[in-house]
Amino acid sequence: MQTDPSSTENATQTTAQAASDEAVKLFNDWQDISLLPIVAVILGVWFAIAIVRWLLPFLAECGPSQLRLYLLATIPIIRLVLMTFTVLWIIPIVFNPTFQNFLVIAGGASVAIGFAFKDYVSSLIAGVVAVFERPYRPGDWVEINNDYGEVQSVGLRAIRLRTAADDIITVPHLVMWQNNISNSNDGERTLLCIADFYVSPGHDASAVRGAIRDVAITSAYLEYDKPVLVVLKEEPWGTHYQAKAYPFDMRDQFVFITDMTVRGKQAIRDAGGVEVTAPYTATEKKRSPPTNQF
Amino acid sequence: MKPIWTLRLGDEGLLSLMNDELDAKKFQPLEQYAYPPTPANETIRQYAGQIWRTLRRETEDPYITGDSLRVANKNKLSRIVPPPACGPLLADVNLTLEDWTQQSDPVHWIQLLVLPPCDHIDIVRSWAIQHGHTILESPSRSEIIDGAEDIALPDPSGDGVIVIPRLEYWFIRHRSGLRLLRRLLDRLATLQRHCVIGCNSWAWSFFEKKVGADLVLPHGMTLQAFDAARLHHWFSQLIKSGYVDGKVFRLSVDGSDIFKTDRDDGKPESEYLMKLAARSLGIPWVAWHLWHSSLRFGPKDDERIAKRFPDEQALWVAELDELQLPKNHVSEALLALHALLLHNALTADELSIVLPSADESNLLAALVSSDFVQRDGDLYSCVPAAYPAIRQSLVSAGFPSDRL
Repeated sequence: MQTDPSSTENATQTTAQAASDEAVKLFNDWQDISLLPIVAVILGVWFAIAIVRWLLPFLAECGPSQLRLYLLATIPIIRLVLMTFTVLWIIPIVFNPTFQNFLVIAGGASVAIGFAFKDYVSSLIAGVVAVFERPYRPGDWVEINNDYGEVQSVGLRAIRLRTAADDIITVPHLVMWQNNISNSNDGERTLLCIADFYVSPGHDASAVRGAIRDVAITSAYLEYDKPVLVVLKEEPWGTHYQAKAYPFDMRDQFVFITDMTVRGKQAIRDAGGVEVTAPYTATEKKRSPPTNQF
Repeated sequence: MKPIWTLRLGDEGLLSLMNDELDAKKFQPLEQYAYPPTPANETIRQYAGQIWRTLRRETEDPYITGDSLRVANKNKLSRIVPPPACGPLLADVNLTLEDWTQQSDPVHWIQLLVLPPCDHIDIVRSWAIQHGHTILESPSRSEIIDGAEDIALPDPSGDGVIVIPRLEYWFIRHRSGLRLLRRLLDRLATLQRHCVIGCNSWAWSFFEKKVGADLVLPHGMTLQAFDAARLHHWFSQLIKSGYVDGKVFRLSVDGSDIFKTDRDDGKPESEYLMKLAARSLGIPWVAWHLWHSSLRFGPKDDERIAKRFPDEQALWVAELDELQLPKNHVSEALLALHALLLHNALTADELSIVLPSADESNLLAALVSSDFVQRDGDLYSCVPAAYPAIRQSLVSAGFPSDRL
């Protein structure tokens, strides 16, 4: 039996046309989209992220202090992995992933990002970069734009800092692009603490330096495996001493500095030194040496 | 501070000491100290058992319940199980130092013995008294703070062995409390005479890293951990030297005799001593205190026990207590406990000097009542039985710790 060449050609054209139409569609047909798996995946991942954000900080606070920073650092990584999984799962269900459709989406997104969501998307991308570059991670003490505090959480768009004054500051990730981020501990359990003393001239510097060093060495908060250093610099108004040491737990940094300061002042008096008021004040997070302002 | 338990040697004690010397083990370098092993899967079994009991809401059914046991009267217990002079450890010290003390020109004139804390036996002092060596007594801590430059250091020249039983008594963690220690170390650096120095492991960690004592003193040596076999041997000797009169030590959980040994290999049948060795971190006096604190008298007129163990006077060994620090004021408590371990013992005034603040005025009272700290006159020190729990809490909180 011979087939009709024209009917064959018509069938082929019909199939090609159907494929072409299919390729042009951006979204899959509604009747082909199963909403239940999508909702289940979204809810499941949201629940998992919520559990992780509650459980890991709880374990970090209750468990050995050596594990605290490791546990906190895994939170943004786990969240990123779960959200990536969710997106990759849902996209093929909702969208028709072809090259033409990709171009359509990219074009539309470019307009939206360019006009309305520029900063938001910039923060999102910076957040992803931050997970890999790690300029900060949960538990780190950082200074960003003169705000110094502990990183409580690293979100998609921003991080939350808790300052020494118990303020919560939300810092968008996009500040990372153009601002310096000063990380005091960089994932370590301790950080350098500096106690400043200002002594009038005419004292025995060797005795005062030795006394301040012993003050730091005998602090109850001292980390034994880190060095203790006392440096001094002669200024026009007197001598500026800095006791530099590390506490064994960086959350004790302020009481550690307080302890060194209280006992250091007594030590200076006993060593025959007289404290003097400096003509300027050093910032809370020290940069050495402070800037003169006359 | 005088040792709480003094060395008492009668005929039984001398015989015991001779036996100890046969089993003595030399002290080893500090970094080689290894904790006794925990019985296989004991830790996993403990946690799994707790979870399972919680889920199933099972009530425990031990051989003899804890609430029916009577807490043993301390005086009566001391007659039955006398406080330890720790003969085996004295034999270890003797074995370690015997040859060295006889050398006329040793490589090192100084020997440093680093021992775990809570050593109320004062092993090094006991050894020095036993051999008639000269003991260098430390000044009081108030003298150390007030006038370290005026304190005359004993002349280290001469013959014979001089002994500094506790190096930690030559300092107090205060900016003025290091001068005497430094002067002593300077004097020891030029010593040409046998000198034995004992030091608490927590204090040694501080001296080594922050005072530079390791530049003057040689590498420290420490005891070999007391495992189940050594504990069995030592406890058996203690019982024999006490008022025994047919007493048997049975576990309250299953009634087994903790000292009964296997006929084939001579090892204890019960795992209790193995658990005790692991729990006490291999420290003999801690093991003794843990064991001592878990001894109970059985209920009176119990027919079941009388039927099972006729004509027997048993002392019951309850489960080892899990001590935990109270949840409130934990950081202040840990600072105080760390200071006590560092100094071995302090008065309340001295403790307030070494701590950063005096906010917690009732802290010592709370620690004493919760059995973490004990009081002997004016002096406060950590309870030996609580030391494993204290150490674990300090390490978990990130405090600088010792190497044992």
